[in-house]
Amino acid sequence: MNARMSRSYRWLAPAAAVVAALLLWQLVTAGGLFRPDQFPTMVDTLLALGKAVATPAYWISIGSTVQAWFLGMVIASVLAITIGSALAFNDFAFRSAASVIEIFKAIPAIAILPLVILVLGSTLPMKVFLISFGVFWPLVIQVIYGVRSMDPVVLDTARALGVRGVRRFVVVTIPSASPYIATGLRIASASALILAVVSELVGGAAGIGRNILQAQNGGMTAYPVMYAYLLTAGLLGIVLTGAFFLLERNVMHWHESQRNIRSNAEGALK
Amino acid sequence: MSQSTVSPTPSAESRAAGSEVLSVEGLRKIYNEGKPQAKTAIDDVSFSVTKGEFVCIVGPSGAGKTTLLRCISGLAKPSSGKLAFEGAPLTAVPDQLGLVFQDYGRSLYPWFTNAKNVGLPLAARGVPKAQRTRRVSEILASVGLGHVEKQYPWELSGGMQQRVAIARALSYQPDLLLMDEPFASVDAQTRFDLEDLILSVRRDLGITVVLVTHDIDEAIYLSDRIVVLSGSPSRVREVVDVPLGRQREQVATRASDEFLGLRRHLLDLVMPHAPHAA
Repeated sequence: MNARMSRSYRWLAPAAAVVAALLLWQLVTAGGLFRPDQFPTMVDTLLALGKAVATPAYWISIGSTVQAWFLGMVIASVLAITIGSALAFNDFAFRSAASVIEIFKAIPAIAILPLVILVLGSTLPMKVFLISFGVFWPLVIQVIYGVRSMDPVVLDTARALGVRGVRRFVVVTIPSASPYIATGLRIASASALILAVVSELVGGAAGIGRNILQAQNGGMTAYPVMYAYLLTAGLLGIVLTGAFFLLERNVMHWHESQRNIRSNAEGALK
Repeated sequence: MSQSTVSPTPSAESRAAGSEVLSVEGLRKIYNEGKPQAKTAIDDVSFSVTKGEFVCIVGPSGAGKTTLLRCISGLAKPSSGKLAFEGAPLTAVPDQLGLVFQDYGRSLYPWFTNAKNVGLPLAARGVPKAQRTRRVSEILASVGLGHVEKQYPWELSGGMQQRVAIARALSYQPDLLLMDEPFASVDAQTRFDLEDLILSVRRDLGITVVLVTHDIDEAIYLSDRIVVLSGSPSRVREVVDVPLGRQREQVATRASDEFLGLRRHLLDLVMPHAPHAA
């Protein structure tokens, strides 16, 4: 009983906050604080969103953005995990590569967008390259630190048990570094979405970003549509973050942090 | 009692006659060798372990016991000296060596269930899955754990976790079991239980055991011979025979005159203020 009560309360508060924010939006726009050419009303925007949701173009644009996000994430993760682990195990390689990685990490991925567009055009490969490039550097640093911070007892145990090569990498190194990798992936997921939208907005590739640009070019009447796509990008971000949250909770259920979260939650329900 | 061929208190001759599982000759370990902060952890240690023997290594804290164990297990490279496992020079961890660490909380992998932890060395040795599952249940039962296969190590008590770690080290039937202060992190009662578990495992499997401990009573209770180390940098102060026979019992053995006599002698050797101290 008690548990169910507090469960519904937990949903109630954020839902109320969202409703309050929407009402405030309606108030400041319909009340005349903003003109419709600056900021459309909430009702107009939601109507535009409702209309857009019914069209296949809307879903195709989301599909293109998610596709680029997914491919970019997969490529960056695979490269970061293999290259990062290789660098972490070799002190000389790590020292040599560290400064190069720091420099590349400092380059905003968007700065290379003009170059990438020149070479690859407004295409899916252009988006995927930009996302992989932008996400790889911070991720590879997380992997290196994750592997290097491995408990020496964990490694000694693997050696004592005769666990070697690929098996050691898969069942010992990766799980041991996984808390770092998970954090890296969660942050990478958010920046990958930003890069996807930017590459569409600036680079003109198909996706949510291009639809925002087209709505902007459509003049004042299309402003609610533009805002509808902005909302869509935000919602997509929430969905992806939520997916990572669930993934982490399932894959990392054995980790101390997740165990603590579980026992704290149990304590809170008492 | 598969070890009836080995006498409870091997004399020098019988040791020489029996097959040597481990031999350590003039072992020396210097950390940061050749650098200003060089530190000699082990100065000169020699001893050997015969098949079926239970040998404890004791010494004051900071005597380099763990360093010694890392060297003789092949985890660390000695600076000089000769190490041999079953007659072959020891360069890496031998396949037929089982190792149990003090810190079971770090040595058992929390991302694996108990069954997967115990089955890991078997998987690494290419044992097929069905056979592995059978062997894992068998070995867990032999250390007194039933039905923990699907649980995770962190769901068990400390004593049970160390049992899982022991089961893992025994799962591939090693010839030598090396243990580094295996019972230092459990409570006194659990400690007695685990000591008796190791003695019974050793009786049943006829396995050779080398155990590092700082606890003199534990060393006397468990071993056939005790290698006493000096303080850092370590040397062998004395090798003490423990003529207590194969059958040991926590209360009676620890109260016996032989036990108390050995205890006095060992304390004398290990205590820093003792007249023998160098």
